[in-house]
Amino acid sequence: MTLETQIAEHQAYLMRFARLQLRNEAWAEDAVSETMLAALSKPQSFGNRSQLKTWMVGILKHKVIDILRQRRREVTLDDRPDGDGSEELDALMFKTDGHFASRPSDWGNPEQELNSRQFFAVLEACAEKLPAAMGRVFLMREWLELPCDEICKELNLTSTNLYVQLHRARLRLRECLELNWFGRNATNG
Amino acid sequence: MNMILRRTCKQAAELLVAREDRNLRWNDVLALRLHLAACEACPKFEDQILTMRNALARWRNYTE
Repeated sequence: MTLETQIAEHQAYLMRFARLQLRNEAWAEDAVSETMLAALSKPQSFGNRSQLKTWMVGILKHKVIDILRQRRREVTLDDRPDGDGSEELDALMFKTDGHFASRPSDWGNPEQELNSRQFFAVLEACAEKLPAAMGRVFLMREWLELPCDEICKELNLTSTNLYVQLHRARLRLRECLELNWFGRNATNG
Repeated sequence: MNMILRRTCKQAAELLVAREDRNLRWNDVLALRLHLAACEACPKFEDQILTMRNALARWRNYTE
């Protein structure tokens, strides 16, 4: 198999992450194209398919961070300035006295199913449902694995602002997984 | 229990989520521990947050 074919094979995988992180089709295409170009210029450096993929993911992460840095104003702009519904989520979860409105359900010990392709599809769909600005910082944390102080520096955010965004993102993700994965399993068996 | 260390479920849940991104202050760590030992609902919530942590780590390292 030629290097060109091998590189092209990974395009869909790279695009999925680039889209999820950047929330902008044109930026995602730029990042992935540049990554593929970089791989083409190093034909001798890859031993096997998985090494190539790991290398490309690493390059993509750098390209993505560059774009986030260059576009920091647009990236942190809240696309829903009138509030994103996070306050309502809080109000639904808790009674006014600070107790849970309903007891958090038992998610069990889902070692096996957490490795399934179906689960990852649901997880990605839930991440995609986050408002764009919130989704980007959440992915910077969870996919790019950047420490909070670095995210603040790259995007020129205050730590308070970042923590609020991450907090909301985690609560929403929990809610979404409960509705679309764990709750479903609980009723099925 | 000392009132200073008392937390509602809402406050405890906030700490459990915040813990994913920052170090808690020592008094919050202690208050959380006391709350979790006495509460039925919050340990379930903690399990959910830890399951999410685990799931995100697998997702990020998943290779088809």
